[in-house]
Amino acid sequence: MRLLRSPSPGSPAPVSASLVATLREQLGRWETRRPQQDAAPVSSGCPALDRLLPWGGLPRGALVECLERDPAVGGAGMLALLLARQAALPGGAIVVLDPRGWFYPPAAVGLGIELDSVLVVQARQAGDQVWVVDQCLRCPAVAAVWAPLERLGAREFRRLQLAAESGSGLGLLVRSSAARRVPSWSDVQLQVEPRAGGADDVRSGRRLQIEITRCRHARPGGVLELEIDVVTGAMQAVSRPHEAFLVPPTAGLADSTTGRRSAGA
Amino acid sequence: MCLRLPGWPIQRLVVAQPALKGCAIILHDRVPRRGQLVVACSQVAYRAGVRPGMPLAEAVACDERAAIFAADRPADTAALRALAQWCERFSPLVGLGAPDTPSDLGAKHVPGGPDHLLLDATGVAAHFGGEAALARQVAEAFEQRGYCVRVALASTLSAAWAVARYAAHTVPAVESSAVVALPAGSTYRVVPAAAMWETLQTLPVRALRLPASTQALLDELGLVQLGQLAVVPRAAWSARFGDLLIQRWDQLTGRSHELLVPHQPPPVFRACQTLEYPTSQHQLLTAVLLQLVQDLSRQLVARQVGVLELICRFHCAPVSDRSDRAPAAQKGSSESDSVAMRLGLFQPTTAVDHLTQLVQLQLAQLVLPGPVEQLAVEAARTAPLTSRPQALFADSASRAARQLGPLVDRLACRLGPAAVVQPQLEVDAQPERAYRYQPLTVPGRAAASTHRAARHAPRQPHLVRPLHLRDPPVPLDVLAVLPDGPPIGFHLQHRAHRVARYWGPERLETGWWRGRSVRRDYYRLETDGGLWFWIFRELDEGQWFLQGLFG
Repeated sequence: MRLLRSPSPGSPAPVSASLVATLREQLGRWETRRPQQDAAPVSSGCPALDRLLPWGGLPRGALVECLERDPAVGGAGMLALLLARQAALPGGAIVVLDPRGWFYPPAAVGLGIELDSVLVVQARQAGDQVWVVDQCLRCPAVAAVWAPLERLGAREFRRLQLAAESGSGLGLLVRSSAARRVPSWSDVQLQVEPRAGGADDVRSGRRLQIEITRCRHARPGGVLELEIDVVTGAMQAVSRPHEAFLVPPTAGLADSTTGRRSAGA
Repeated sequence: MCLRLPGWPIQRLVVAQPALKGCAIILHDRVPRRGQLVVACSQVAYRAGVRPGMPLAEAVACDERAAIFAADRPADTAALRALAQWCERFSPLVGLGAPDTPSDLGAKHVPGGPDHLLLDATGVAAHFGGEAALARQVAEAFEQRGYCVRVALASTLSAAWAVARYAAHTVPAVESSAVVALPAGSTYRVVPAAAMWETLQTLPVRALRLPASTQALLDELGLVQLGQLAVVPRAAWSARFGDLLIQRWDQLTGRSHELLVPHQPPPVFRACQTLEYPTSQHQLLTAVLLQLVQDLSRQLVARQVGVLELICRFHCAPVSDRSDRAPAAQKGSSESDSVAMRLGLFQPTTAVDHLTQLVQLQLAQLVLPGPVEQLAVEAARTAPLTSRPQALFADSASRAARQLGPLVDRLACRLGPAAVVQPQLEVDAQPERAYRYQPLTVPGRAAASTHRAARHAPRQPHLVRPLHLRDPPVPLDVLAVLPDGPPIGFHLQHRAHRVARYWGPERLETGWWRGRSVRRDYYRLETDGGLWFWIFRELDEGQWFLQGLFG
């Protein structure tokens, strides 16, 4: 705890890279998160996005929130499904939670997902939905869980985080942007903003701007615009990733979320 | 080996009532639209002119002293089943043969029951001193019980049946497969493997048990004996007579296997406990269920089968018993409610922990009408356990894959079997019908075949489809410059969207044979805000609908 105390305001010490790395490591140790250190991270399918993440991809046994302003059309669902496909590339099942019965399997086939590995679970009740995600994340046979979970209490969120840590899958939670205003237990939070393509360009795919609004053990704030080829499901960056300005790691201490997290652990 | 009991209903009657031996016996039954007809008759009645299929009144006129009985098919079958049970002293696998097909008896056929038994004689002949000795002992045993039987032993079930049914059982015979007769008229005949074709080629084509239409065609072509049919090139059989002929021929000659369905029903796995006092205590019920599941699991392990569907029955005490036991006892009411709990499983299992977990999951949701006085656990469907050799260095992936079955069971147990499904593509132009969901824990799930079909379903990688489908589609207010042209904007949930780009139209039409045809022009739209929609215009009425959202 002493090491994590922020420097006194009277002495503006130069922040060196080694100091930042040391502090980050200590902060990571102080936090209760036990990531799957031995498992290779899941590549997002877009090298530029991988570079923005401290693990060089998404860590296994983690929760990833994909936020969108417009439910069901904002692009977060498609991005999350593509990440699920990447997680299932070495093998394993993809569980799709379909609370409203809207999921359309031919779309998954179009994005390059084998339906043999897809399990659709139709749970209407909110309590059942959290239970389903919890059970699936704990199962080592599940590579990814794609779940549109709108309402998620702090206690339930923490439960899902523990479930994700005990398994090796990726929990992809598709939520509305309103979730940014409440404490989160996710490891990565991506804010997805759709972008219109050029009116004259009928060949280009779907453009999404992705902002990393939360990332454990790293600076949030990286922004990237990428294009999804909707025929093959391939992703590629169309703009240079804009890295966030340096945020001192101690700034996390002022965050009420971090405090609560330590209390919950 | 096949044991044929000619005129089985008559034989059963004579054995049951020895006084009828040597009398004229007529069995009759009501046949729809034909009235009372003779089903079977004894040799004495036959000599007097009675024939199966003739009206009863006519038969009575032929032989007025005949004993007339109504046919009792369930009793015939039950007696044959009892004989099959008794025959287990000769073979571990005994089955009832199927009744003769209509083609065997011609147009005047009166449907009858089974009249022969099939025994698997593989490997058992040595214990009886050879095949001939086995056949003789079987025939003698039947004679001692008063039955007249025709025993045929051959390399295949079909051949044994054909020989028992159609080969001459007259004496003397100077063939390699000699017929041997016993004093009371029973015969047995062993067809050695080397002489099988010699015996079979003289048999009529009817021995193939073909449908009446195929049989009529063969008769028309003059193909009466199997030897004549063998001359016709095999390649032409399928086109001329259908695939069934090839299948039956192969079964007859031993090229393909024929299934012998044992007469005994599969064993019932059941565990039951009656409580001393009816109780509603959840903990107590759980403990008793746990014990019963353990019992059941032991039974299953002993037979090397796993449960696929588990039924837990709770017999509850009458409601009146709860309030006041004495008046209920006075009334003597014994009406009790029974509640059943069904658990479908993804793969056969005997794991007590897993089954207990599932039972507890469902028990938590169960509403009991009263205190439980008896609990029963039964394996309604079982399947052989797949033996899985333990690998010394099993990789984590294969260990992890085995965990999927228990997960599916747990999900289906809490949400219901219809809520845990696997999607499969269907070949259909209409988007709503381009897929279907296959529940994973319901009875009759054809895992192998459907999965194969799904794998071979054509992939359509070039079709861009939305992640969410609205079924039924939502009517939409769309602005378009031209009546048949692409949309330039639309209103959805009180919000105006302007179309920045569009792809389409993609015209989808369904066939007339499906009733009201569907004709639609689909457009994939990108709004100026970058949102993607999938909308279509109904070509017949010009109405626009929103069908898909791209997630």
